[in-house]
Amino acid sequence: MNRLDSVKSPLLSESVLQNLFSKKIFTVQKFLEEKPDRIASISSLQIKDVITLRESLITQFSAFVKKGVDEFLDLKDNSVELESGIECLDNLLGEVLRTGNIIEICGLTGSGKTQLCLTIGVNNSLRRNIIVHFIDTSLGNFTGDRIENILENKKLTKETIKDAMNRIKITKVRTMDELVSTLHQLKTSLGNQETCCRLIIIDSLSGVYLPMLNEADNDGSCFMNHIASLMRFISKQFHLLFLVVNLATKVFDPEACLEHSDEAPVEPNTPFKDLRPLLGRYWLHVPSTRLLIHRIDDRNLHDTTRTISVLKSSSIPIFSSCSVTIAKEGIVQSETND
Amino acid sequence: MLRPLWTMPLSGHIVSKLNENGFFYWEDLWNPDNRNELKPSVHKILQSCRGFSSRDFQSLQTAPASTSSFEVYMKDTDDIITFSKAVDELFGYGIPTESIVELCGAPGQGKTQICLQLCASVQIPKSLGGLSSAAIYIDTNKNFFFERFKEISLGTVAHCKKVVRKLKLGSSAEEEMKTFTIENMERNVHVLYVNGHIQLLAAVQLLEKMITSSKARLIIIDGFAFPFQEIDSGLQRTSFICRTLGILSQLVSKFKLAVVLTNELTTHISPSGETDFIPALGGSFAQFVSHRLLIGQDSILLSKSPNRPSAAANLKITADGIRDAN
Repeated sequence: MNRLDSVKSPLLSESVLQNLFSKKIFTVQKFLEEKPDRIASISSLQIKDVITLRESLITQFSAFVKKGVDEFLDLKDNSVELESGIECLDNLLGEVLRTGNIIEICGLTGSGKTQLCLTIGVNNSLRRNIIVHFIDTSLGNFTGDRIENILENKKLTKETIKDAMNRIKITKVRTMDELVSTLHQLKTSLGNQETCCRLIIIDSLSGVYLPMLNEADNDGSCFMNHIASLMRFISKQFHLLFLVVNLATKVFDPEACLEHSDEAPVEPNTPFKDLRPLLGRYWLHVPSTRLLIHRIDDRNLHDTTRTISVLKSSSIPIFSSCSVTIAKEGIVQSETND
Repeated sequence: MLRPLWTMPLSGHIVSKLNENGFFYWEDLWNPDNRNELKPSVHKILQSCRGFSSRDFQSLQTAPASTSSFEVYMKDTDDIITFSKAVDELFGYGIPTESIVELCGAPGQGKTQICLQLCASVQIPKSLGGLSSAAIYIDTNKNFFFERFKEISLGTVAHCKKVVRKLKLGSSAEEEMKTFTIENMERNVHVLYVNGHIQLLAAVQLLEKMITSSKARLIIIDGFAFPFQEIDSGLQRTSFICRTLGILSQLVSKFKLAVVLTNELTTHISPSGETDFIPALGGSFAQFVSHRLLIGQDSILLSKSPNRPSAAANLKITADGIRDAN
């Protein structure tokens, strides 16, 4: 813990702590910032003891240097490669769905973000026998009947369906505070559980972020920062994958429309130029991979085909894509896939 | 990883007071030997703060409970029928509670008519499969006509009487039908006229009290887009819309409500210069809506839903209310 107390070192006796606190030196950080001789004069400790104390605090609270080969072995032994269960998407992504990552799915409203999450959640619960946590921030996004529906259309026995559904845990979250509490609780509870959880889906982050949007202060960004570090910590500590949904909106630039004339074609190398994922600039760098799910034909509301494109990744070419269909059994590979 | 105090739902002055005394993390506040007990020094600081109660303090960090999807699936939900079988089947059994439904369409297509019908339907007695509850109607551009609601109520009561007689539902249903009168139906629709977005936000904040006193299960906001059009700044508009919907969605899950919003169509110009009609208020608004219905001439299209495929249905608006097209 950040605050100085006797647990951290036997040298920090009650009277020493009292002396330090009276000079507003409460935390480890503050202690290390001060010069040793000043600490010695405040705390009435000997300078030799102050130096030992400093060193013990530094070893307790600094990051460890790890050998590359150990890190690799750790990754090899503990991380798991998950699959989406959608053939063309798995081919496209390769090893991207490996635990320890944060992956974002973005898209316009009604483009099928939730359907993709449900499909990936169900397929992993079914094939890998793992616990899937589904954190639902928007109303009714997560409906038990759609999950049941997906499983039923896969023609499975009632028992298998029930077991798979029991492995999918839902937490309904309404506010940013509740989301932070939920993640902190997972941080403590995941370590105690016997059955392992490998996938946490948050649908969606923008749902709790948007009500905090305000011109005057920027609390939302602070929270996003905290949530990002929490997610990174949890994903590394417990070797699991975060799948996060973010809304994309159409950028509407009135001037661009006015200026539009025959000679202004959209640049060929940047598709989806008019789409922008929300959650601010800071967030853009947090997920290791960003996928965009998009309607091919905006006008035809009955059309069930979608493209999934890669917008950010360090291992697959950007803008590579595959085509999928939203069917009764969840999202599947399009039949006309080339 | 520790939880910083600023992420707790605590008031600013409590947090800054704790920070002044060197407490920056939630975990620092508790006795290392007994995790359910505050450190004495922390307790002393907190007691000097206004609005602190030691009983609820620990529950501030409680996360919402998680359930398995099987349990969620097995739970019964209530639906509000629309009196058009085709429209009900778009959702399964009618407008679902615990959701926010958006009705979207050009003027004069019958958005308000559907809202009025729902105000009547939500009051159908329990023995007839209804919810036997009340409705709150928030009206932003004076669309609610009592005369028309009376007409629809008459149609609803007449239909229910016919059903009781035909299916021989027995004495309990007949008993309930006695109190299912036009007068009671009018009494159970609470209309709120609001002007502008500030009043709308205030009305939504007052809803919790109204819902507890009236036992309402249906909230209608007719003309949801209208009050927000007076805000010039785009960011401020989004902020107001999301705050209003944030409160609504908390109420929806707390009281198992159905919320129906009506929205307008607006022109969208794509970068290539093509124009198109799309629902107003943009994508961040649609994020909070679980079902989106587009209303055209005598037909209705479910264009967004987390659990139902997109499909269309035909309906007609009669003197008695909404009915099937044939």
